[in-house]
Amino acid sequence: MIDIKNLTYVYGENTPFQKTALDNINLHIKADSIVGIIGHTGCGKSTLVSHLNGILKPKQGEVTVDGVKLWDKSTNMRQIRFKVGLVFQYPEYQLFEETVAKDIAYGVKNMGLSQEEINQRVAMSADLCNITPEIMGKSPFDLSGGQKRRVAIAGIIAMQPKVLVLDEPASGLDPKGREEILGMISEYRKRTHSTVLLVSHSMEDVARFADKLIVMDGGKILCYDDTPKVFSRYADKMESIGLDIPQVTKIMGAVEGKNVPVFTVEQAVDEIVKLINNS
Amino acid sequence: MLSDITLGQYFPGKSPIHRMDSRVKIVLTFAFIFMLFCAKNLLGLAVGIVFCLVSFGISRISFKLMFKSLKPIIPFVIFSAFFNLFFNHEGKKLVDWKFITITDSGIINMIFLSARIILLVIGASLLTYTTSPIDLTDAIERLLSPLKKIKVPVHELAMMMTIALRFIPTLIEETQKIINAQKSRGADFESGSLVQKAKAIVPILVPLFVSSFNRAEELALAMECRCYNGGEGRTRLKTSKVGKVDVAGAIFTLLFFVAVIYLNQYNIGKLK
Repeated sequence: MIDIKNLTYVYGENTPFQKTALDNINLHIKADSIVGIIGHTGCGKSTLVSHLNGILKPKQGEVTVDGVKLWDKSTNMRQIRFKVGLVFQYPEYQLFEETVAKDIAYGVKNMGLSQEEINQRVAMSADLCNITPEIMGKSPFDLSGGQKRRVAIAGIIAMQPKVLVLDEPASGLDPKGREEILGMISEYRKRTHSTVLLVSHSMEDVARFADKLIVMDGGKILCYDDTPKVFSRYADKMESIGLDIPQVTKIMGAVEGKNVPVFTVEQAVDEIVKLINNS
Repeated sequence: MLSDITLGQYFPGKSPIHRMDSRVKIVLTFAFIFMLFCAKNLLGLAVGIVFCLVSFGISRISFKLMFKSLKPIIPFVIFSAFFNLFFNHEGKKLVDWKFITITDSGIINMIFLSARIILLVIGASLLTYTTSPIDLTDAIERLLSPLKKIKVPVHELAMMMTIALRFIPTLIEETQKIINAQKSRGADFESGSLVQKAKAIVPILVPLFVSSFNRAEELALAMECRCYNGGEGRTRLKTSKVGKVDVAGAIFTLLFFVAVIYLNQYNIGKLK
């Protein structure tokens, strides 16, 4: 689905602030998978995802999405943006319309669809994102933080992108808000079988949702593998760059005295029940 | 596209020019501008150019940036040079063909005017390249503080300038973020008629206004929480004093100034 070859990006070239944000990245992401991207602030996560729909132009290397090479002369970049839905960090600042319904419709309208199709997609997106008709009629500036976030993401989901990329969609929200957002994302995937890329700081979140994990450090990919493998094989490596494996994994590791493939609370419960029954 | 703005951008460094007191730097920049207008012949102008280049060299700011700061004024320079060259009919005629008349004084005028504009901009950008905006407004406040006696709100003006300057990069960053977000939703800023283009800007302006107002309110609140009540009785964390570098800089400028005035007596390429 997504192919990245020798991607390099430099910020502020030829100024004293020059910084290589991405350093020769190679990556292949399969269709219909959820991939988590983790790493420290400033490791290049956001820069990487900004290349997926052509917001940033690579200094070197190329990005191919669904067989279409980005930044090729014949490539229509707007079409790429409808195919790859990118939700930036704190997406609520993108809201601008008079009503929530109109704001969600903005992206779909840009696609040039019929009014009927627009209404249908907006309704589907609102339903998926748990936005009630009452909220739909309100001004987006009158909503709470969590609601704003949901509306902003709904605006991207309404475009029904084949690839949904979310840059820390749950940051700054309370646990309930987090659950709602993450629930929306997995529901969208269930319904449409699209590829999802989830940038996150929370090991617990990516452990629960992602099939595969990309760990980034200093503009490079430290490892890219199935989630259980990353946490079991690269635990030391991750700790050395200051990242942590999920807390339950640590606890279960201490309980059993070895590394166990347990990454969520639910799995831990099953594992403990099994242990008690065995003894 | 928004990252191309360089005028008024600060590049940190440790050169003697960076270390100078910002008040002295402002005064010397004005002295330099005055020097340019004192120069009455090409020799004096050459001294001005040398002064400018040497100063730039000392600051260790790359010359590329110097040219970058000149980019916006190129059309202006070409425009004024054109008028001086073809429409100044005083002095000895060098070319007199049909409607084109070029005189020696026209050429000299052209050289002077172009050089003055260019050097002026270079001098001003050297000041802003080597002085942080905060230092700059601080210096302006201190230089203008005698005006407080005639009830000019110097501190308030300086504070307004500081805040405005401080938020330029923030707003640029914010605008870029909003543009990117709307582009990701398929916004199209390039094609379409003028009306469509103007309409396409609404999704950028509305969020920008909203966040600017929020930011202003937050900043006001934060200032009030720290008991800000204007400049009265306020002391500084860092009080810069005039030191050796500043004396050296002043002497350096003075030497060039004297040279310009001394060279004015010669009659080579004299400005009429």
